[in-house]
Amino acid sequence: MTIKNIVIVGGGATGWSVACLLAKNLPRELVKISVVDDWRKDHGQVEFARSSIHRFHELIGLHEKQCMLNTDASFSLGLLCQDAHKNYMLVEGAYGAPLEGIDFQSVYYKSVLLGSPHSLEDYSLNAVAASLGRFGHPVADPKSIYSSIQYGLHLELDAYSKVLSAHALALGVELIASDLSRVNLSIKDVAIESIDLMNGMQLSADLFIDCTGERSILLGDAMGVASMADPLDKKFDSVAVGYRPLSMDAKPVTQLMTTENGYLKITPLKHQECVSYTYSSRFSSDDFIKQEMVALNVTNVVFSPLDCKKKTQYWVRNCVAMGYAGASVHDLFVSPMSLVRSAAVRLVDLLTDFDDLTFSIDEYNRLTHVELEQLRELAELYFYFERSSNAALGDHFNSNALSAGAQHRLDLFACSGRHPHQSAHLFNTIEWVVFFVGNQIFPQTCNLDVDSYDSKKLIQYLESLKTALYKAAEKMPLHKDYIAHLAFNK
Amino acid sequence: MNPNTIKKIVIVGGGTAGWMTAAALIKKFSASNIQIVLVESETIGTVGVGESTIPHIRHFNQFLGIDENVFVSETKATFKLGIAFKNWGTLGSDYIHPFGPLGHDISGVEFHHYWLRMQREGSPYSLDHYSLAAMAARAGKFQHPSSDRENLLSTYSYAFHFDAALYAKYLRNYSETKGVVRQEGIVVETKLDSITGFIQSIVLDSGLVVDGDLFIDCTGFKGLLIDKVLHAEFEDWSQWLACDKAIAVPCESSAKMLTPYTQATAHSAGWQWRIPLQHRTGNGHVYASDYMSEDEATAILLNNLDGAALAEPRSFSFKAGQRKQNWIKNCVAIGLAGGFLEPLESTSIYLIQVGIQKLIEFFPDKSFFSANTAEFNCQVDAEYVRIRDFIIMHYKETRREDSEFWLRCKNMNVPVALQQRQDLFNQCGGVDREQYGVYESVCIGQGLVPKHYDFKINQHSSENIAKYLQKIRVDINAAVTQMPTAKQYIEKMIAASALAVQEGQR
Repeated sequence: MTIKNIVIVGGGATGWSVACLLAKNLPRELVKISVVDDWRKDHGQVEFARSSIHRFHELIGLHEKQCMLNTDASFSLGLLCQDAHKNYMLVEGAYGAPLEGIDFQSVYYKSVLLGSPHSLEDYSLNAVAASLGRFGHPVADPKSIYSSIQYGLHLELDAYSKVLSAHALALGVELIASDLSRVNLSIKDVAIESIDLMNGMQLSADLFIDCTGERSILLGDAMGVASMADPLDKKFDSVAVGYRPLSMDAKPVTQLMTTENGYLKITPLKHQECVSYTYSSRFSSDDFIKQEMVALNVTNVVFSPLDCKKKTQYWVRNCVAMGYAGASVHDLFVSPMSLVRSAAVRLVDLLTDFDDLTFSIDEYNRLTHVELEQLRELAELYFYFERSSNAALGDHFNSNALSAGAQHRLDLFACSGRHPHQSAHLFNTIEWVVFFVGNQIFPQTCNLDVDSYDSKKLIQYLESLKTALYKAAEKMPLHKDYIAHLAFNK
Repeated sequence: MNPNTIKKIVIVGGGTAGWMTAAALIKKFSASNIQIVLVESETIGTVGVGESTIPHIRHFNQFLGIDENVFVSETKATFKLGIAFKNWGTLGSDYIHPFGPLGHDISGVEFHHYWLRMQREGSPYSLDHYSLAAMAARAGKFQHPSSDRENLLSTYSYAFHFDAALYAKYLRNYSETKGVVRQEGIVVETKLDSITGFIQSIVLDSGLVVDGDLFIDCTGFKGLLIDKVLHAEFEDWSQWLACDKAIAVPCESSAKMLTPYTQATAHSAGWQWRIPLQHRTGNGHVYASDYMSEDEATAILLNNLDGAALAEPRSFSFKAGQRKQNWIKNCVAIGLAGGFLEPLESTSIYLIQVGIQKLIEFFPDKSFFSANTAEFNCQVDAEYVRIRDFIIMHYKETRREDSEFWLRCKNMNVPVALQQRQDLFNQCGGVDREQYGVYESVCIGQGLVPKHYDFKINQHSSENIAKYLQKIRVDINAAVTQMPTAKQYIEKMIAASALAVQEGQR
């Protein structure tokens, strides 16, 4: 059997991302791809997209400029975790460079033991440039210091999904502007036979992709696939989002901080900043949060519920749930949209031409679980470290231990600065290091090589490295000028 | 200086595992004043049959800073481009698991899907035709891969066949020169800390007491420390890997051709290896004693030699499996003391390497943090299981019904994760890239041909794919034609290094 027909239900950045990738990979004359778009918005209004988005854009053939010029997007160098207790910048890209064969992290730990006041970020060009509000694209020449820059994007999802939909239409995807009214299951095998639309159309397809957000109308409602919820994820159940003018000294980073009420995320776009506040409705009323937002100079605040949970399976028979329809997760370090992109690539990889998709489906679900588990562990540890800032989190960790996986990861780092093997790659090793060190977790043992290395020489090396990076960062343009220049060159 | 730093390592057992470990540790920690003692006895033999390797061995030698020319002369090594499997999927089948990719991906879809579509459309060419390593191996050709990535001659890797006893001897000299102390003796007693149960010291037959912070058990199947003293649980895998005996015998080299590959020929209750070295050919018959007597196994082996046997056949017994923990307290097992898998994919020395590499990666201090030990065990275990499943797959994916042994293999239930991988491949050629080797070449070679190729390749026309595949074959043939034979190549290399030694002496 050949897949001839794929229907994506729900548009948004989720639906249109999947549409673009499918259309780019499947022969246009053989497979028809349609998107039923009711113009609902994605959950969350902005995305802090890590550098992996470039690879996806490459796969779908979308140029960065198309994205930057037609939306309010800006460049991102990383994430700043800043509050009363901590201040660390989680950026991608290189940190330092090995010293005579000794890995840089060990060199850094040693310097801390020796009393050096500098943070790990002082040795990252990404982080130094970000703290100075500067930005530039990486250069291709591997010998240049500027080749180590790794950047992402800050995207306003509504505008971004319009760019994606225009791109998908150009790739031959069909748009059906209507809303879903009914899902018809085949009695024989509980697969989706067809869907009825408000405009009276009935669509059948070989594969349905559920991009209906938290409603999960196809996979959840119609097919009855159950959800699982983590008690920790349930601590926060509401989100308030609004905008404020871009501050004069805005840096090309997203800011993340935990407060008594929940966590706050501030994402700078080209012309304004998006502020989202995730909190618990049991402890903070909407009015209270609104006042907090006003104090932050935020207007047009929109409130919506957040129900973090994930399905037990993401692909069942002829229906795949993408984005919040499959798993609604906290938007902390890795954006929900990046999960969509990763899932879309996985789907395309495994979507092959045969009668029985069982084994592809099993593999898809297995890989999706692995990825979500890594994300869960990260969120759990983030909340764990924030437990003194927030009563709800404090409460949780008073009565609940860390999960075995998270505890092992923490112990392993704390004893020896090492990391468990991971087969999902949302978050790389050096980022775990920055995350732990930012939370004041330092390994107890030092690498033997660095132990016997001359202390004075080591400190000198780090000083010179820091100075060189600072000088290099200072030569980069200011982020706002860089973006303005980009628009000017249109 | 950290007062908790390990100051003394005691390696128990020489042989390939012991001396590889000693060499790597002294190289790694030469600047850190760690004392390394290796205890072995000339009266205890070594197994040392792991004479065939995979390309990782080159990283190990590089890490030690061993010059390849010296290595090849010292260990009587020959080059290896892959493993040829004969009679596995069916009697008469013959495929190569090459050290190098098949064709290459097009539009993000793996090559074997294109091959499969052409197969369906009548193309007669086996997968081997799209691997430079496989075609050069068949033709008996070898030269070093090109470092120019654009060049077709860069699309393969290589390993060695070598004399493991000579390798151990070479590494012993290397280690001793760098400061490893070799202590002759047999361990007669082990002293443990009464509270922690950590090993404090070992006592030798001479009465000498050797103390240490970290003990490495390289005592082979015996597991003198890890098993006899620390009682590590052994996980038995013989339900999937029924072979439990081997007979080994060297023979005279074939005059015909020096084959740059290991031959693994299936027999009625096991398989036979053939590993050509410079001065002789190593042979062995791995078999399941439930299905075949030793006499019969020996007769089969002796009937299938290239030349006259050079020694009496030696026999070994073993059990496939692994100790659930290769690291307990302050003792780490490396090599056969940690686990055993038959050498079907030449992974014995590789598994020693994995143990050493992970030990260095997770090198402890005297605190011996449990999270660190647990992670080492978890990663080593995962590597054993990965290779175990890959080897099981060779037995499972067969259509042979000519003996009770093969019928049993064909019908056995394999580990769930392996079954899922095989089902996925069977349906649509999907390969989990974290798996070992060139997975698709072994699956297809064994006879597991996917039912469906990836329909994304339908965007290309048959004519274009056919043309593209033809070009790959033509290019590979042209490249192989101009390569020297493996024999010429290695003779030239040895002559050149002998000359260099003479020049140096002058």
